Amino acid sequence: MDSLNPIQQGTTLLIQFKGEVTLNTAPDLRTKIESFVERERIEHLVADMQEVTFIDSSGVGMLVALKTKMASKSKSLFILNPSAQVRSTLGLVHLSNFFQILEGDEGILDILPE
Amino acid sequence: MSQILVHYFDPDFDHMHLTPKESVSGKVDHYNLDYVQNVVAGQVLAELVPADAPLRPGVISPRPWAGQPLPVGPNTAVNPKNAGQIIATVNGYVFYHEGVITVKKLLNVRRDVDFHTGNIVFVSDICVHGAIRTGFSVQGRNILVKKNVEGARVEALGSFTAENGIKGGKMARISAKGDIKIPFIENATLIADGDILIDGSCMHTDVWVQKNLVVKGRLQGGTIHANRIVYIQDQLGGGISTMTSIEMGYDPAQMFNLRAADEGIAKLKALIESLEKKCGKHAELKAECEPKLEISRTRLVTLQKRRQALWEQMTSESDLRTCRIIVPGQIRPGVEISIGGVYCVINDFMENVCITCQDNEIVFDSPAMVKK
Repeated sequence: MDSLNPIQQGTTLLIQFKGEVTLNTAPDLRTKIESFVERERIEHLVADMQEVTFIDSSGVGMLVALKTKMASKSKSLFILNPSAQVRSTLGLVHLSNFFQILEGDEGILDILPE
Repeated sequence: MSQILVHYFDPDFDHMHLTPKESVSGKVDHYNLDYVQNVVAGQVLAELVPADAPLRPGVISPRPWAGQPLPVGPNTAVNPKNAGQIIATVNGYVFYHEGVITVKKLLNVRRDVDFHTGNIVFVSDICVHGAIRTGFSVQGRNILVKKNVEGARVEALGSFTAENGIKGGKMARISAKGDIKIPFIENATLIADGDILIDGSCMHTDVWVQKNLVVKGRLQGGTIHANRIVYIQDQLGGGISTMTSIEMGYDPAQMFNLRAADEGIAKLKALIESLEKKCGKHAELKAECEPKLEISRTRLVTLQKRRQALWEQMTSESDLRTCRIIVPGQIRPGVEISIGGVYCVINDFMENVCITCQDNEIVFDSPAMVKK
């Protein structure tokens, strides 16, 4: 979790994914993020994917699982500034509009409701 | 060398026997029962690994493997890049069926969406054979509901159809990226990026439609935000005591975002006011509230900038020529019409009219439709 540089602002958690998000990392990340979200009562999970160089289907599966978990609890998951590779993979698996995508700088988090 | 089969989903999952889980805080969430295990095309579902190899964190239920064929079922395949892995070939939900790993694209919920299922989020199409009960939410691609929708929240990434209509109880919110087709709706909010077709009546409902709205029965109460054609076959409005308004000429999606921004700004202003009062009361309170006040002020500035940007985009993109209200039936007094910056209240009974905006004036033509 530390490698994701989690930044908590009220009930919003920003996590920064970097490098590759694949089968090697996704299951572990999912477990850690889910437990952090539950422990800290996070309402909005923001996955910053600007610096993701490669994501495979298992990585997308992890995002889907996180979104499913959050939405089932009437909470939200946003993907912040996805890299071209992330966009391309989401498009390939027809999930481009499954996620709410945020574009902008750090201030973008200010528009999320408390 | 002996091997084990590790899973990246719960192989013992049984949707017929779901139980609410207790969170770390001791609360039990009855709305989140994990009704489906979503997977996406290409995702690794299971893999064979040497029994003595260290397991990846997060794997579930390793099982001994005696060299039999891999349990590859419908919509799964052996990974062409790794013969020891089973992958999904479509988006859907995964489970073991008759000893093989199976992925299904269509989620059939053969009962009501209620405390037995919890909220449902699915990556593909959903067919709910029962009703969606008040307080629950369903999200999927194309969604079909065989019975009625109550005060629930439904988000379709494709089209949405409810065969028995929507009785929203002022709580339902139905949104679709595609088209919406329903027999009737009352006391709800309806948002569509495509067309909306209502076979019967649309009562006391706020509608945000990007393309065309067709109501074959009566449209009474609520506000319609549309930008193309609004067709009301039988009756528009229902007396002066029932407010019915149609707002056209602005992008409905942007109008929706603008309203959300306005609500956010109003809430923040109220919060800032209350924090400022607290800061003025006591030094201890001031120390506690000042950081929150600072954050709220920053958020307010950001939100106001966003609102301004939305408003500028909206006014520059409005096209009034596409707006048309066609009513072959009757219009009752009390209906408010605004197209762009032009506004009028209908004070008389009318029949068989087409309402448009020409030269900055609202124009009523009859008959509603001219046969060519």
